[in-house]
Amino acid sequence: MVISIAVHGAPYASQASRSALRFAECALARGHAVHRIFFYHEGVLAAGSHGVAPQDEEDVHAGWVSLQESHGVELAACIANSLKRGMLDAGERDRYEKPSATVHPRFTLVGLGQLVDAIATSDRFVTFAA
Amino acid sequence: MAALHIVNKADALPDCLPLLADGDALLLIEDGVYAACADIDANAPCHALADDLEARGLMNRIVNAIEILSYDGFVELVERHRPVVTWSR
Repeated sequence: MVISIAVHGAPYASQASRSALRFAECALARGHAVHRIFFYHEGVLAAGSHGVAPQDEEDVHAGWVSLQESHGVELAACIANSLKRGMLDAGERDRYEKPSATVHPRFTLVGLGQLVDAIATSDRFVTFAA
Repeated sequence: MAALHIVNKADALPDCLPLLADGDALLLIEDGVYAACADIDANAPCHALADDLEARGLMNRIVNAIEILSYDGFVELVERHRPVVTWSR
């Protein structure tokens, strides 16, 4: 079964990213294909590469990167929500002449079409609200 | 196929209860598990996520007929239902 996931809540402010990561790991362990994680609204903050997690807390950003590297799960952050929160990849950094890229290279900035595509092409679509 | 209704805030539960259809299932996660401490008048099977109940010290305070699930059980519910609808506040 092909599963895609939306994450609407920010790490630390909401449990959404942690719950979604647990769910994705478990779905993969049960033999499903996790196609795309769509980070929306405050959820895009999970893409930030400049955060330093406290030593005694789970690093959910690192968890997403690890999931991408081990299973090829697509990490897609809404570009409109990302830009206004300072989440820029190298291309957007150059376009807007900002001092640095803040999005981890394993994440891609995408339009809402990729959300519609994930819903249309997956057997299940599960949203983790803020 | 029937729907799975995920509730992640207890306050959102009343929004979804009137819309439960035959065969639908209800799953309480995150702060939605607080709803397991009061009567739920649902004509659908109710489930709650064990990790979130434990994190809030609610394992022994459940008053409803609720099935307690691991994440494995969560994924299994998703396998059996479509669409999966999330209710929040």
